[in-house]
Amino acid sequence: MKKISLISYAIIAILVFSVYGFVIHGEKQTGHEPSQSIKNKGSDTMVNLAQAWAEAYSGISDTASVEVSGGGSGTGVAALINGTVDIANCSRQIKPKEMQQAFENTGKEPIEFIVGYDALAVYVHKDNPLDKITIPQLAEIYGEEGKLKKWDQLGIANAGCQSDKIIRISRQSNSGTYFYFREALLGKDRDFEIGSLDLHGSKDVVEVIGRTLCAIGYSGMGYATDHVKMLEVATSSDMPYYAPNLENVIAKTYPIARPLYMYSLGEPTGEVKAYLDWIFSAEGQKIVEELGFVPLTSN
Amino acid sequence: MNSNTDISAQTMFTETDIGRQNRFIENIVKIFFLIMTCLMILPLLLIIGYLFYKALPVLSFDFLFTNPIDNMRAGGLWAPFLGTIYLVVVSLLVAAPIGVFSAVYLNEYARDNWFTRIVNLAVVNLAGVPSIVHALFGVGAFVLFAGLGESILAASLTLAIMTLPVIIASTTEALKAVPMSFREACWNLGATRWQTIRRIVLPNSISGILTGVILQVSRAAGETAPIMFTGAVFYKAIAEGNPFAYNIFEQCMALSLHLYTISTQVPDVAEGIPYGTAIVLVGSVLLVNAAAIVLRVYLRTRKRW
Amino acid sequence: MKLLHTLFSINGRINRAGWWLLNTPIFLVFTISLITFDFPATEFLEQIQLLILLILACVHIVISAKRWHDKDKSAWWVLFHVIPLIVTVCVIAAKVSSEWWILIHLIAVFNGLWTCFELGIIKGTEGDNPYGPDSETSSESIIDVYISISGISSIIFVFGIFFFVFKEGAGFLFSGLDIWEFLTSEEWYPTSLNNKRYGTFALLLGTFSVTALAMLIAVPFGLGAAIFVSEFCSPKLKETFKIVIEFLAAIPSVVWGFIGLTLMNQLIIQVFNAPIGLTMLNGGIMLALMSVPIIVSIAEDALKAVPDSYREAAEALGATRWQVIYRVLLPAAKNGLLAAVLLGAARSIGETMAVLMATGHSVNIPNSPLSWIRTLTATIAAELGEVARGGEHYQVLFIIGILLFTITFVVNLIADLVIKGIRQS
Repeated sequence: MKKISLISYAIIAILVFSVYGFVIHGEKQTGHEPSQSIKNKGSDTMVNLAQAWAEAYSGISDTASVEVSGGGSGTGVAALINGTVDIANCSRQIKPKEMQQAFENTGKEPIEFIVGYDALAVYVHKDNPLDKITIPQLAEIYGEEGKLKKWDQLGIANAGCQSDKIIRISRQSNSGTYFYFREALLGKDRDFEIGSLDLHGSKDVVEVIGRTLCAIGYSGMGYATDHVKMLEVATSSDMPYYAPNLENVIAKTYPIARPLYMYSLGEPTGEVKAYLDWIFSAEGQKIVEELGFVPLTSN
Repeated sequence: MNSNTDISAQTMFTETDIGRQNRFIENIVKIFFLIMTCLMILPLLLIIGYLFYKALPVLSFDFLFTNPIDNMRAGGLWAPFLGTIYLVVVSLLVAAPIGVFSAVYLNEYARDNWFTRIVNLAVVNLAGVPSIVHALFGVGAFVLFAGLGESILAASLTLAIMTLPVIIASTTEALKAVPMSFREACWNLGATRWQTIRRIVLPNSISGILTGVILQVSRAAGETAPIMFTGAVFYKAIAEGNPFAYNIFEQCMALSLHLYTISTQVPDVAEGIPYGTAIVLVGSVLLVNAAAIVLRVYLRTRKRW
Repeated sequence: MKLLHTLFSINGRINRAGWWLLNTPIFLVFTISLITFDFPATEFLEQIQLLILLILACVHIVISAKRWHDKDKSAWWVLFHVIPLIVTVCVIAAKVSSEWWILIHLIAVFNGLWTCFELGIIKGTEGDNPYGPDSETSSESIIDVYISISGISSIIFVFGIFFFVFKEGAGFLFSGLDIWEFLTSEEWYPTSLNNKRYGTFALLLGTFSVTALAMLIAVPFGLGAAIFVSEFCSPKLKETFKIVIEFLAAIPSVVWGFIGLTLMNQLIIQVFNAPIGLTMLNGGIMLALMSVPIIVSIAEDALKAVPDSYREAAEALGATRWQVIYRVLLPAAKNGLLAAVLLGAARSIGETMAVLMATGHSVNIPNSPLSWIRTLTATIAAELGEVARGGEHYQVLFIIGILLFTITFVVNLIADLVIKGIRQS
């Protein structure tokens, strides 16, 4: 018994002191580690895109690996203000106040990059006879004290939907998608009516609509599946309707489209710069298109 | 109370006579309760069967040892699986000594007074705190206050505190099962309190302690809410096959969160993959539990008293 | 007093185990602090860290001095390993040019190994020596300290949880939040641009209704199973059932949520012809399955605690099994059964992932089991990720955390008192 415990003590001693040695060794080498971790955080809309980039980039660069987390545009900006991320993903533009906070906190100005465009499509079940909708109609469906509650008010008979009620599918109230859709529909001074299903993922929205005849919802254009249909949208009833597709977004005729931003703290350098440059390359932009977003037109 | 029951029972039960009818009722009752029990157990089998059936096309050795690829729509589970192992191991390293010592304190050191009652109450309440509140605590204490940031360490510490009661409960149980006479015999030989614990109490209760530790592992592996905001990420590229690919001061993927994200946020995931992830998660948790049970049964057969 | 003497007085002796017991954590703390040197921490924390490191260094020196005493040597021997250590630290701090690194590295490792060998492995003198009595059991006071600290750690953690959750939410709780409106208004508009409203009534109602539904399903089955397991089973069958129940308890909540999202969703759509399967019923069934194991195990304990003499007396009077259960066991064990139900309910209230994924997550006053709802826990889980730290919305989520903590604390307390009640009677 005694012998065994002595040996285990000796092993612990060697372990402890080799750690000690390594620490000192590590101190010496701080600054030029072989592999650098680029922290990338923010918008849930962009998280799949960011993940795809990170995955593709891991096959290209041996010197950097990209850590991606979602959580939403707000989280990304908050992390940028705290200086804990290298790149913040944002599906909205950073506010001047946040810009200032970041500068005060870290001494660096956030630099903005537009990395692609996203169109929010309005989805219904594929068997729903509705094909087109206007922004004011959507506002009445989603807005507080809105008047459109039933499918026949939209002039269609939605067979297979008992009680004819429109089931509103929305996103949790602080996602960038929610903010953008609310602003596109209602401007800044009206809220959405509570009682919608506030799902926690862009995919979730489409999946639920795909199973529900009476539902309407919004989500990124890239999330479409075979079970749902994207509506054509017009800014008002006397304007032309546009389908959410690449041409219409690039031509800026589709009304619910927005740029996707990435922010870095200060002018990016080193690995972060290399990563951003790669994102803007043809290869990076191809991934944007593959995921159902709209690539930058300049390429 | 005793005499009361007896009197009322007497007036009640003399009305029925013992006969075939009674046995019939008894059987009916028995079957009724059996059905209730089975209805409760059935879902377990159904669910595991269903998950397994749906996951069958993707399950393979490679599924566990390759990274998620193609925007997490295909590939395997290596990164999240390794992340879960990291989280579990680090939380175990923290929770196991504290939990075991805590139980030793409660069972061997503490006297039966108000303070001990409060400690016991604290253990019960710690077990009852909702997992999402543990997450809030983890964010407030480890991520922000201690400055660990979102990292494996912060997430593991949160998990450790959350799962501490599991270890305390089974260790206390195990310590209680050691007969008092063992300790008394040891004390009579002039051994100190710690010597008694070290040489008599702990060796005799090691099975219960290990069971607690194993259950802690299974609990920690399955939790999602506490790690969501303290250290688990949506995606992180790591080297396949390298078990040291994570750094505990950085974030990691985790099986439970991976299941959540691929089932709600990633579009066009191959059908079997979420089911495969679920079955790997359930499978590893149940396997670990089964290990605890086997250990318990095995050690009980060679119990010396 | 004894503790202070152990840690800060160089008088007396300590054995090898004591040296390791104190030094291993000290080494670990130093290692971790060195690694996390550049961590984004506050200035206040940095000062605390420095203070702790200084105290630990003192303890290290004191304990090493005692070890020399144990070997019947003067405490001055300590200087032989402390001085190189201090020099090393100074050199690191002064950031001397890189040619010296190898040498310093070597000195540090050699010094450490030698110290470990000399103080940690070589035994002290047997029996008494001029510095004190035999050191055979001198490490026990240190072990006692560790055990006592671990023992009260649960209290520290419970208070810590309350403190930190409260700390994050306190600012808004005391200035600005209308508590009455918070509890009674159903208007949950945390992100409205011009009229933010934080009413959690619908969320509270969601939590309680789904819990009630879950209990409605789980209690009959749970108690039925507990009665079956405790009264009708052979020991072997009992063991099997208990294992299955343990398995049921082990399934992670995110898997239940996933089942709710996929399998149960479709089932409800088909069976009830409902437009959407993500409903209170869905969440209720998931929660019922999750809380049944707790109910069974605690209820079974309560039934086991009823003395066999009760059963024998009743059976001797000619009662059938059903009568024994209904007239004798259930009344006798009613406190334990109540506690079982309460703990099951507490589990359901606190559950997060399953209800987040299965109930539809809609701020809605439920009017039937097929209406979709949102719970307190799911709201935190869905929204915490995207709020700006320190903002009102962020603080409100922590206040919901306080609310949840309080609710579960009270339910657990009641359950505990109910169980204690049985023990006393």
